[in-house]
Amino acid sequence: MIPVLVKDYCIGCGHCVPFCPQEAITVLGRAEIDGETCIECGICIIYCPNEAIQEDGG
Amino acid sequence: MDIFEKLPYPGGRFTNLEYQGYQLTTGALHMIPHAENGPLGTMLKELGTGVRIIPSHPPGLFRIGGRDYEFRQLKDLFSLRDKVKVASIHAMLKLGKGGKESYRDWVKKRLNNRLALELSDSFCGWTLSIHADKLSSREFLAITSNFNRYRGPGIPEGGCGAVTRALVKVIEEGGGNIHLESKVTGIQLDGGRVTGMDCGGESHEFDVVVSNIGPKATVELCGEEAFSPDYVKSVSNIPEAAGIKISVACDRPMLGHTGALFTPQAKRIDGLNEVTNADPSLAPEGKHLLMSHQTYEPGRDIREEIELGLQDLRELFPDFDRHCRVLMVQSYHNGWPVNRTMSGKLMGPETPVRGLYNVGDAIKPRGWVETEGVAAGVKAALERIDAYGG
Repeated sequence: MIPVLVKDYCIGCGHCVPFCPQEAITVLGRAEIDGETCIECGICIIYCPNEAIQEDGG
Repeated sequence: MDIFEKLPYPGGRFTNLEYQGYQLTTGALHMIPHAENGPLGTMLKELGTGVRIIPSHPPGLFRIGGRDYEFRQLKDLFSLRDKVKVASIHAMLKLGKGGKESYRDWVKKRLNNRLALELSDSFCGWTLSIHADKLSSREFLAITSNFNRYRGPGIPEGGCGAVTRALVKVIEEGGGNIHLESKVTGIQLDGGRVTGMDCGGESHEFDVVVSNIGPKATVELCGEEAFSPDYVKSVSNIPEAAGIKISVACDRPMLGHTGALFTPQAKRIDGLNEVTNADPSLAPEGKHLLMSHQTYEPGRDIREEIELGLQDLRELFPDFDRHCRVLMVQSYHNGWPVNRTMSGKLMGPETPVRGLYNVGDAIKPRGWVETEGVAAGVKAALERIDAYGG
């Protein structure tokens, strides 16, 4: 499961940030996932209210 | 009663996110506009939730020229000739009705003064996430009337999350079920009345469905063909209110009080609060949580708007970098806004479909702001449902 940020949907609300166990997400107008820190757990996909983070191919 | 929530937690934009020991919010600013006296405070009391709302003292200050003023002191900032006009405006705010013209035009007609317009924008921006040119004078005067009657804001002990947790307890103790990670994919209708909804590939029968996702998304769940073209057009054109919130960790109090600080002369920030002066548990021991809010006008470059907000913080607090650290910048727009309906664009809880009602931040009766508007809208919906017999 590789989370992929769908940038057009992301509004930068930051809901994903506190739930990331790796602190791999930063938000400034839009979320950015650090690919090196991300462990692909997919928790951010569940917590995004705007469905902006989706599985690869989702 | 069953509640279906697509997220893994209840509360949407009105709960807490714990981050680095700070209780950040999913949207709101840990503040209830009329403390215990408004529709939300009354509802929480009637439900026996035990939520404690700490009244803000002072309710609000205004930072002008580097100094903080109480509302009653603002008149001193105007010339003798303008003082008379300010007094007249104050009288009209208590007695007037307003009209369709914007509040900005209403003020400008009576006092064409830059500070007066900046004060209007700052108050509207902090309270409603729109500026005075987007709000009718009728709505502003109704809001003022409620502030005069029900007084100023308060901070719920435990933050927004405490309110949400208390409501969850009431619902569950009353036999209600809350289904998390349960996205509603359709609303079923038959002969102009609601019969149920779809979730997780299953259909559920209900004689009453209450939606809080906004009238436009509710129509989409039902299918546009169930409504008249005029109704579909009216809900499609509802403007939302957008904003940006900056949460800041501080090693000392930057405001030192429990009210709002309005910042009419800032480039973007409309106001700030420091809720840890009321409830220290919202930050690690000895630290403070400062939150700023700025109105965001969709179409503008969001990164530039955030940068201007950050510049404002450094100008408002010259020792910002010594005592403060930005925890998170959160923006709310485009489907997950501050308010799904801009204040003053009134829409009732009823829909053309029998048994289907709207609540939430798109449905606020005249004069009620933010969570007070949501609670007043819920009360109105409950009255309609009782009358419907559902």
